[in-house]
Parts: sequence; structure tokens; C-alpha cells
Amino acid sequence: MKRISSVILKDPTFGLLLVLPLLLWVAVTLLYPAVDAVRISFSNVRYVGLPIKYVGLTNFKHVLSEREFWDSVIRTVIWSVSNVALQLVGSLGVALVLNQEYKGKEFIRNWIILPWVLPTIVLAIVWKWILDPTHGVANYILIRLGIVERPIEFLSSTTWTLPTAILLNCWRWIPYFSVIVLAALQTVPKELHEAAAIDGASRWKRFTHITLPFISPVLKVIALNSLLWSANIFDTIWLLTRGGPLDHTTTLPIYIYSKAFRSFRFSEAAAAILMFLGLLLLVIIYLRILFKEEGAQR
Amino acid sequence: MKARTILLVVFLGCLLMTVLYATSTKPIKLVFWHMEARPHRVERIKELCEEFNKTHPGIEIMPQVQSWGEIYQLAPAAIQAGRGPDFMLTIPDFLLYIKALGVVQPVTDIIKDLQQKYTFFDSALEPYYFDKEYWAVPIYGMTFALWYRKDIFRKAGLDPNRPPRTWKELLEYCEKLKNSGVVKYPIAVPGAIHMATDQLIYTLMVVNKAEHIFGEDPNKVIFDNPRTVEAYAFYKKLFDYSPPGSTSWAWDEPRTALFTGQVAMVMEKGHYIKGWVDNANAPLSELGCAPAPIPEDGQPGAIYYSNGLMLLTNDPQKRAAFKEFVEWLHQPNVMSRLLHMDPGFFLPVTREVLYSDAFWSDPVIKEKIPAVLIQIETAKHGKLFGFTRDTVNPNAGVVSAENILAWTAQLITVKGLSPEEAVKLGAKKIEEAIK
Amino acid sequence: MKVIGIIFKYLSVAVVLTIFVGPMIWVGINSLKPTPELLGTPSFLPKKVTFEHYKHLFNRIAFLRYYRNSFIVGVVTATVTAVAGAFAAYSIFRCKYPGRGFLYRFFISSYVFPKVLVLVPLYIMFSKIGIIDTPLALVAAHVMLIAPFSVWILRAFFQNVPVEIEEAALIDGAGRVQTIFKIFIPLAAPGIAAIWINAFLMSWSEYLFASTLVISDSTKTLPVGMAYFLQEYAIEWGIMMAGSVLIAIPPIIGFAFAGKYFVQGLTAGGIKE
Repeated sequence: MKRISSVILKDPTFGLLLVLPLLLWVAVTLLYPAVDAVRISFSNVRYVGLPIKYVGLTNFKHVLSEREFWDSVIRTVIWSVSNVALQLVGSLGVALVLNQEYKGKEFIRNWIILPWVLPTIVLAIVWKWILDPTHGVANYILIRLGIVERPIEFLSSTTWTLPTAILLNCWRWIPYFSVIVLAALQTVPKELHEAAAIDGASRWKRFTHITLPFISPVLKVIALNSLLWSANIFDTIWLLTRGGPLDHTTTLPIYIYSKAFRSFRFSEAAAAILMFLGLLLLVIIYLRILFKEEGAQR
Repeated sequence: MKARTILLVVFLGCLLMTVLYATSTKPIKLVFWHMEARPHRVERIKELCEEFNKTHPGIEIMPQVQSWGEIYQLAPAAIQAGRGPDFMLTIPDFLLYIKALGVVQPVTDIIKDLQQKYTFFDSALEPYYFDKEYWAVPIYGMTFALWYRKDIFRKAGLDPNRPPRTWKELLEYCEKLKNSGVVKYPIAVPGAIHMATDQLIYTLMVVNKAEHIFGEDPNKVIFDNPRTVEAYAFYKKLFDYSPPGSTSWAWDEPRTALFTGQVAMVMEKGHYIKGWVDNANAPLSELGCAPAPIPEDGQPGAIYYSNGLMLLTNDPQKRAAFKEFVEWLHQPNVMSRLLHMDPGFFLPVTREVLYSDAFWSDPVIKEKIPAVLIQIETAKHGKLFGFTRDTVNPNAGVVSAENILAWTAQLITVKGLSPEEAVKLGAKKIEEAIK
Repeated sequence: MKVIGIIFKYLSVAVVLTIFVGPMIWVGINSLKPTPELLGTPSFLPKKVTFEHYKHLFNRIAFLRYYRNSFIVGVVTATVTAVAGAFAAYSIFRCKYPGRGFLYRFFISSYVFPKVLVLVPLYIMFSKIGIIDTPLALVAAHVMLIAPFSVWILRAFFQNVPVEIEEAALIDGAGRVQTIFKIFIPLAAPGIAAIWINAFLMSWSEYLFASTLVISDSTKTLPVGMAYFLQEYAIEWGIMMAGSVLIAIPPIIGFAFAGKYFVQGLTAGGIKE
């Protein structure tokens, strides 16, 4: 890519002209609102159209003093970390399973992504139905097998809801990442494996010494993406539980949404989002440094 | 000279005709939001509006369906974005909530004119009177009762015509039903953070004489008191008899539970009559109805509120059209047809409709006269949270907008707090919300 | 020993498929069961097949209208994204001017940016300019959500299109625009198809912005309409399952046609980062 022909790159106006539509679009719908959010967070907006009063750091102070805010910060950490871990392990596992030689592998390797392709609302309906305490098949099986006596309230009890929501979010994202891992696995040279097998290396050894190092850059990218996406997940949680029961699945995006559109405290919502953003930036910077250091050591 | 005058007259006449024609063919359009989202109700409202439009050529009422579950978020958003309706269905607390936006128009003159012809029941009209004005035109009321399955009572060895009347009896019946083995769960209780839960809890509070959430001074929250705590404690007892998953139950789940025979009792509003006809696996005669049971030292009653129409536009032409519409709607034979969209659920708000032949002519109502009478009697003692005093806290609407009564219930059913602790936190939440 | 290995292999694939595809099939089957059977003891196959739920879907809720709205928003979003995204990607990866590296990073970081942040300001902005509650508002938001990602997907595709072919065409005297249309676009077509499909799918599924920027029933998209149904009529399982089957059909068809490019796009972007 570095070697670009001099014929193509003559004048910069053409290039700029091409990038302009998207740039403008993103500037108007993302950049400007983002700057506006900062302004709103320092003001007192309850209803659109009413005159704005600037109130300094009041909104930040108020949000920081709320227990619900800190609870949702902790919940976001739990949610994101477990999602990343499970998605990483899960997608690797699924990819390894699908990477074997079997009939119909081309077809299956493509279609495994189905849960990710389907809209979140479908996920919500499908799983609410399966996990319903009264009519759901999951509880029916559990009771018939004698594992539980009383149906488990997967999506309405304090103990089960967060784990269930995490697993369901993984159900959606593992196929997506596993497709990427699968592609990475194809790049592992077969000869290396064969040579190692002749040398008598066990399957496990071959996996940890050949496969894993080979695909670890991809896994890192997946981990980073999974983290950013998980922390931002709104619809899966909202459609499954609306953040409930009580606040037990209220992560930061849900907290912010409720603040803005249930309590109509736009300014406090904006303040909360800015703090969320700050938090995310810190994590990203930390991870970048971590990955770089690792790279340097190698 | 003469010819010119004639010509002028003809010309002016033509002009006038054109103007008249232009104005008459361009009807005043009014967007009407209602939250009666069940299909047969949507149909009936549409039908009535179309009929009105046909008989009133200058006006076009355009009904649009919204849902109670979302309206608290949607309406303020829409109104602020300039996409709100011209008038909409409301209940007293929702009215307060919207009134904070400054768009609700007083309708005192319309009410006064209506009162020339009709006598409104006080309980239906009063909640809409504050700041020296009426803010909505009531159209129908609704209240709570105990609905039970006579067939299950019979199978469990209980007298199907002797429903529980007190809290103590209600718990005894629950225990007996459970032990009989006929049903696993005797009663269905909603527990979601939803209006349905709010209303059941408030009904329990009313019969336990804890109907006041605010003090004489409307800024003082007196929610945290022993009688409220008792009501919550009783709710928890009922909740424990309710099927698993009830913490996410709202309106429909208890309905289905009763109609399929999963449970024997439900405390809810009158939509159980029509719902039974459409969905239940037994004849209507098997549906029993009784007043909401009361504690030994309690009072009869339940939550009661009238739904009304509130006007959101200050356009005088639209206002006149709105007036014409509500006057047309309040005629007993028209109103009865509106109420019959779910017979036995929507209760009349004027004496004229209650005593009209039209109202009692519906076949389902005819079959369930006692159930309708029970509700009408209950309505007399009915209360609504935030509206039990002479002065209304202008922020009282937040209590239902944020479902604080239901939230408090979840502190008990989900988090496992004691009723005392939960009510204390609930009171704190109300205080914060009305600030 | 070998037999056990084969059994284990197929068993593991079967387990993976059951977990990830099974639930959807279960719902598809259940959408054909009459309500009493749904609420009774579960059986795998329906004892009686019925299409009543599908009928109700069209009679009782404005399913067709939601469907149409979603489709329009999806197609327009996808087309705008494909055009603007391809332009931008071409500019960044094929032209040289100062700041293009920065632009690339800007698009990438705007993709991972928490979108809840702009929800409120966007809502206020759209109300002020009066496009709230219109499909246009949704398209505006959806393109913003997805277009930057498409630049990322295209990067890998564009790298596979050799610069030399374009050079040759340019030297042969073809104009720049002509080169793009005659040489470049046909070569990069799979990539553009991939971002079109991806954008359509994303718009088809999007809930957060669709639920906030749309107010009236007549502009609601499918996810929003169904979510409302899920809230209000939590118990009408049959109808909801029929609905989810119908929502799933366009993505499945789209995927069947262009799934290869789509996966290629995702993996290419994912591996090359």
C-alpha cells in the first residue's frame, strides 16, 4: 500500500472531494452532537426548547454522588470483563470445533454466524420464550430431569438475570468472533503441525506452541473489540430485562438511557456519558500500552 | 350603474362562496392519541371517530394508538419535538406529568357546558380540578375487584358463591386452594415495575386506610407509615402464592394465568369480563367477581380513576372542534358504544349514561350485572394516589411516571428487604422525585 | 479409537450447532403451534400445524407497515453507506494528501465511540430542525453508526485490488473517474457488496436510535414495533414468534446471497488489523 503510483496521487483535491461526503456526515451527526453533549452536561436541560442555564459542575457532582451510578459502573466492569473472557474462550472453542474436517463444513462455517446476523429483538423473543418460567422449554427440561424443583427465573431473579444476560450476549457475539478466529486458523501452516506431530508433540502441545502463538494477534484484536462493544451494549440488555429486576442488569448505557428518557434529566445523562467516555479512554490507553510492551518484549 | 352593482354583488357572492367552499372542504384536522391498544378497542374508537367525521364535515378526528407502557416517555418527547397530538387520552397523574410541559389547556368552559346536560360523578371529575380550572374531560372510569374461577373453587371444595371478603379470608383461601392440589398457585399478582403493580399495591393501601401519600401540605411525603407497611407486607404474602416469574408480570400474564386455569384468583380491573369471553377455557358463568377484600379494621374501596381527554393545542378552531367532539361523545347512546368496546370494564362517569338503557343493553353486561354493580359501588369509595387531598402536588405525576410504588414492591420481592425498609426507601425516592 | 474420534468430532459440531442455531429453529417450529399447545407441555413437533399467528400478525398489529419502514430505512442507509464509504475508502487508500492517516484513524475511532453520547444531542438537534420522527432522521443516524466501520472493512478489499491495473488504465489515457468505474469498482465489487449487506443488516436490527428518534406508530421500524408488542402483550407468544421468523427472513436471504463476501469482509478486516 505504501507504493502508490505517482499517476494516481497527483492532486489532493480529488481525494479530499471523495472523502468529503462521509466526513461531513460524521461531523454533523457525531462530532457536533458530541461537542453539544459537553455543553449540555454543564447546563440544566430538562425540556427541549426551554432556555438553557449553565450550572457548572452540578450535574457531575450529582451523578457522582448517586449510588446507582457507581453500581452501574461496577456492573459495567463485571459485564464487560466476563463478556470478553467468555467470548474469547467461546469463539476459540467454536472455531476449533468447526475447523475440523467434516461433511458440510463450508456451509456450517458460513452459517454459524446466524445469531449475530439476526436482529437483537429476535434474540430477545427467542430466549424469553425458551427461558420463560411457566411455558419455557428450558425449565421444562430442568424439572423433568430433576435438576431443579421450582422453575428458575432466568430473567427476573437477582441471582440469575445478570449471568443469563451475559451468556445471551455471548451467544450473539461468539459466532461473529469465531468466524474471524476460523479464518485465522486457516492461516496456520499445516506443515508446522505435521512436522510437530511427527516429532511426537501431543495435540495440546501443538495447540499451545503452534496454533496459539500464530493466532494470538487476532485474539488480541478480538479482545479489544469485544471489550469496546460489550461496554457499549444497550439493546440486548434493554430488550431482555430493561435493566431489571430493580437495577440488577443496569450497566452504564442503560443507566444513561433511563436518566435521559425515563427521568428526562438530559444534563445529568450527558455528564454521566462523558464520565463513561473518560473511563473507556483510560482503559483503551492502558490496553494499548500493555499490548505494545508485550510486543516489545517479544 | 345598476348593472355594475349587480355585477359587483355577483362577484362578491362568488368570492364569498369560494371562501366558504375553501374553508368547508378543508376540515380542521385533530390528531387524537389514545392508549387503548387492544385490537377491539382500537377498532371501536376508530369506528366512532369515523362516524363523527362523517356527521361533522368540517372536522376530522384522526385517532392514533399509543401504549400506556411507553407513553410516559414518548409523550413528553413528542410534545417537545412538536410532534404531539392535538388532544389525547389521559388519567389524572399522567395529566400532571404532561402539564409540567406547559401545553395542557384548561377546559373549564367545556365542562361547564357539559354540566348543563349531564351530571358528572364527583370521583370522576374532581381529580381533574386544580389551580381553579378543569384540565380534562372525563369519559370513563375504572376500578379494581377480585376475579376468581368458580370451577376451581368448586373443585377445591370451596363455595363458589362465597368469595373471600377480608384479607384473612383471602390468605385462608389461598392456603386451601394450594393444599387442595387443584392449582399450584392460588393467585396471580403482578410484580413488574409497571402500572399494573402500582395499581394493585395502591388498592391494598386504600383498603388498609393508607390512601394518603402526601400530607395536608402537598410537599410533605407521608408514605412511610405503619399502614402502608402493612399493605406491602400483605402484598408480599400474596406474592408468595403467585407463580414463579411474577416479578416481571404486568397486565397480561395474570390474565392468561386465570384464563388458562393456572391460578384461581386475580385482583384487577374489569377487563377480565371481556377478556374471559374471548380467551378463557370456560363459560362466562364460571367467572366470579367480588369487591377487593379488606383488612379487619380497613375500609371498602380500591384504586379508582377516570380517564379523560386533555386538550394540548391552543388553536381556537381546534378547541371548538374538540368541544364538539366531546359533546357528541357524551350523548348516552354514543358513550355507551364507547364503553362497550370492553363491556364491564369501562364505567360511566355521568349519571345519564349510568341510567341509560343503552349502557345496560350490551349482552355481556347483561350477563354480568352483579360484577358491574360491584365495580360501580367500589368506584364510590375509589381513590387515586396523589389526589386524595384538596391540594395536589404538581409533581405527583412522577410517582406513577417512575412507578415508585412498584419499585418499592420489588425491593421486597426481588431484593428481599423487609416491608419497613422498602417503604422507607420508597418514601425517600418519592421525596427526591417531586423535588 | 478412530471411530471414537469421528463420533466425538461430529458430536462436537452437533453441540455447537444446537446451541447457536437450535434456538432459532425451535422458535420457527413453535410459531406453527396453536396457542393452547404452546402453553401446554412442550413437544418438539407441532401436533397441529396452524398459521393463525402469522394471520394475527398482519391483522392485529401494523406489521406490514413496520416491515416497509424498516426496509426503506435499511435500503437507503445501505446505499448511502456503500457510496459514501467506498468514496472515502478510495480516497484514503488510493489518493495521497496530508492527513489521510488521521482521517482513517478518525473513522475507526468514531466507530468504537459510545453512541449513547450523541443520542440526546442528536435528539435535540433533530427536533429543532424538524426531522425527528421521520425516516430521514433514522437514515442520518444509521449511516453515522455504520459507515465508519465500512471504511475498515473496505481497507482489506482495496488492498487486494492491485494498483497496477489502475495505473495501466490511467496510462492508457482513461480518465480518473472512468478508471474508477470501469476498473476499480468491478474489482472491488465484493467489498462494496459486503458493506452494503452489513449496513442493511445493522440498520434492520438497530433498536436504540430507532426507538428514540421515532415517535409515531406510522414511522416505527420492525424492532421498535416488535419491542412494543413484547412489552404490552408479553403473553402472545405465538404472534411474537411468527414475527421473529418474519424479521429473520431478509437477513437470512441477504446472507444466503452475499454471505461469502460478508464473512470475507469481516475476516479480512479482522485479521489484517
